[in-house]
Amino acid sequence: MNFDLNESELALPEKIKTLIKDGGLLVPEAIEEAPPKEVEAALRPCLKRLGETGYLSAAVGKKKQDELLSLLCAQKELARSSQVLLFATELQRLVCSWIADCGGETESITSGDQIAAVAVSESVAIRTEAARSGDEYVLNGEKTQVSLAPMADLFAVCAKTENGLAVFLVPQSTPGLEVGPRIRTLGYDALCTSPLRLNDVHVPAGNMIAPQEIIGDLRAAENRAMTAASLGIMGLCLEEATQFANTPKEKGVKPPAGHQIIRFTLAEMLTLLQTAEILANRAFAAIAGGNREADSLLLCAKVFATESACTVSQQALQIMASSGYQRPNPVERAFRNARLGPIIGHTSETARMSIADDILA
Amino acid sequence: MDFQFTEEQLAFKEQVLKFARKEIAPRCREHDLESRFDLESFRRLGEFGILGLHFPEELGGAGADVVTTVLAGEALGEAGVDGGLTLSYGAHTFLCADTIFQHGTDEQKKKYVPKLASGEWLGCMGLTEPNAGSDVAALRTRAEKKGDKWVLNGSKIFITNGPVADVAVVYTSIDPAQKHAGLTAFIIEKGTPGFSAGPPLHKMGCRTSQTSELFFDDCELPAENLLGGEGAGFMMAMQTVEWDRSALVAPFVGGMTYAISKCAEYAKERRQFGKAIAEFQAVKKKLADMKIFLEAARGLIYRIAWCKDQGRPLNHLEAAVAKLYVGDWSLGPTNDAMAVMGGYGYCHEYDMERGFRDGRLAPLGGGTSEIQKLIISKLMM
Repeated sequence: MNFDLNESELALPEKIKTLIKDGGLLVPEAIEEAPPKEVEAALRPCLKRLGETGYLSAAVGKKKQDELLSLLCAQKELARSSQVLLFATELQRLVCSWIADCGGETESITSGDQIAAVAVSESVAIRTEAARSGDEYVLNGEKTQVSLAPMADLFAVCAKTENGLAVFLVPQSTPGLEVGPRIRTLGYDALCTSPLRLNDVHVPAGNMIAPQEIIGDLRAAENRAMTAASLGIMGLCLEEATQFANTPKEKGVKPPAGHQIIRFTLAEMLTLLQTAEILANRAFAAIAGGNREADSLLLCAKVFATESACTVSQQALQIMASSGYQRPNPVERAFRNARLGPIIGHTSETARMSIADDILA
Repeated sequence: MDFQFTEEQLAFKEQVLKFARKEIAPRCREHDLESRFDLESFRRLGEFGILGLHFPEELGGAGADVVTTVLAGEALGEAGVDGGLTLSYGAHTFLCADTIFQHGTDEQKKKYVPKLASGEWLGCMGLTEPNAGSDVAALRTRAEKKGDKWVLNGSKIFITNGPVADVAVVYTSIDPAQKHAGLTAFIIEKGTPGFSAGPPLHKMGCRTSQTSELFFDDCELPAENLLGGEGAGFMMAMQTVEWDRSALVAPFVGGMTYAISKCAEYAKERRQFGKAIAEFQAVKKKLADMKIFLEAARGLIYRIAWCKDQGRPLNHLEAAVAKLYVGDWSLGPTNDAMAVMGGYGYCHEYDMERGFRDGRLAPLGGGTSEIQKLIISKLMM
């Protein structure tokens, strides 16, 4: 047992911390209202710099799962300053993991040169079809929500083949690909989530990969991403609220933290953060170690962390009162972003049912 | 980071689980119903080696690390041992015996620790008073030096094991003006003239542990009964906190594992509307919430245990976070455990109402949730 990070586990989080401290990462949230072109212009240099630190290639593929714990600590740092960047990079990691597990090259994405988008979800089940035609597949269908779609260089499209689901790597310039109008969202708006239509999209057969569990992988990636994002959100909210609470409105006036009820709220926030952090660490370590209980533990961590992030961001806004209610400010943004946690990947409901199934098995 | 237990730690936990299921748990219901202390079970814990687990072998212990000690506590709860007995063990081993072990002279250690480790003697610790609990520095039990003796006057309340203890570690003030700096501890044996215990208090839960007042009426003690030095009391009392938040809480956390398995078993058998209630999402949600609480709490207590094993200095913040979470957030899942079993959950023989009653102590005893928030907010600012 060891609750400390060892030296090699510390390396990546340290690099991310330094990158953020030196101002190397712009926060795309700050321009969430801007058109996709501007968001893209902010996002690309960030991905490039993250690529240089090795962040984008960490824990890519099943063979590198032992890096998950170190990655989690780095993810936390990143999410503290930008949950959008965190989520965007996790989408890159998912696509890279699929490619790596199927023996492909991921350098163009892990370097931060290219942006990949994950095109899986549809309104009900996966109905997008891929029909074999000589050396090619022809894809037809409609994806409802594809994050990063307006700026992606490459789409990882999930479609039905005669042998079950597969993923097709489709370059953005492929004829028949059509990105629909951007969907405005409560949080993570800078991801520019949009629908994607595929009308007779021809893809070389070599661009097809067949990961074992496409939907399962996506859910797991989202669960991990939201767990990490929640830790970042709580860290950020606690820091901002504490600073606010310690600052008197004017000289000689009691600061908010001079009131016990405010101090106690901060104590509850810290308790939720630390508890979620340890639970998440244990869950990520269990996945890395291939433990039998890893899946259930990750779901426990995901539910606890994402729901706690909603609570903690709400508490931070309460402490900051009208100052927190104003835009732009990172706590108000985190509050909106936190709301995604309990609804993607496993929702809180499906996660709880799955945790219970595991107990009842 | 690595959260694996060693083979030895896991094997020992298994042994404790087996032992407690067979030798202890079947006796708990009856004693709880009658609010009776189970001396026989206590002695069995001693014989098995649990009471002195972490003490060195030369003092009658097993030299175990703190993580192992916490796992043993978890196993007791997991076996279905009631919170009264485990509280009694906690107060005896961690608040009484360990304080003597940590701060006693060689003579004091040799005299008391082996007998406490074996369970031959029972120990208690007296800190709380009618007007001083959370505010430790306000305690009024006075110890005055008269020649080469100390004379104690005052009283204590809510003292676990008070009516049954052979040895008490008692905190007094040698100079109220000095507040914290005046706090001083003494070892007092049963039968010392001027020292007596009141009748057991009637409690909501943890009923098999006997809790009472202690009275000191011109109670004379020789100088050799002073424990840890004049004015060292506050620091000593605070040091027990880490044990309080890890090993003492561990059986309670293990109790959630017990509740989950009992509830799951019941939910699979109980049929309503033509199917097992385990198939209803409302029941499954409760089971899941119990599990989430369990895993969250586990990490917190393992962390304190591990820090203690590393010999890290007092980690008050982490200890308070653990106490606050386990205390306040346990109320939902212990309630859920009762709810899953419906009417049976409300009845004594199914153990869930006992868990609910026993668990209600968690946010109260050993520092209320409010005190934890006070500590956390002070340290984080």
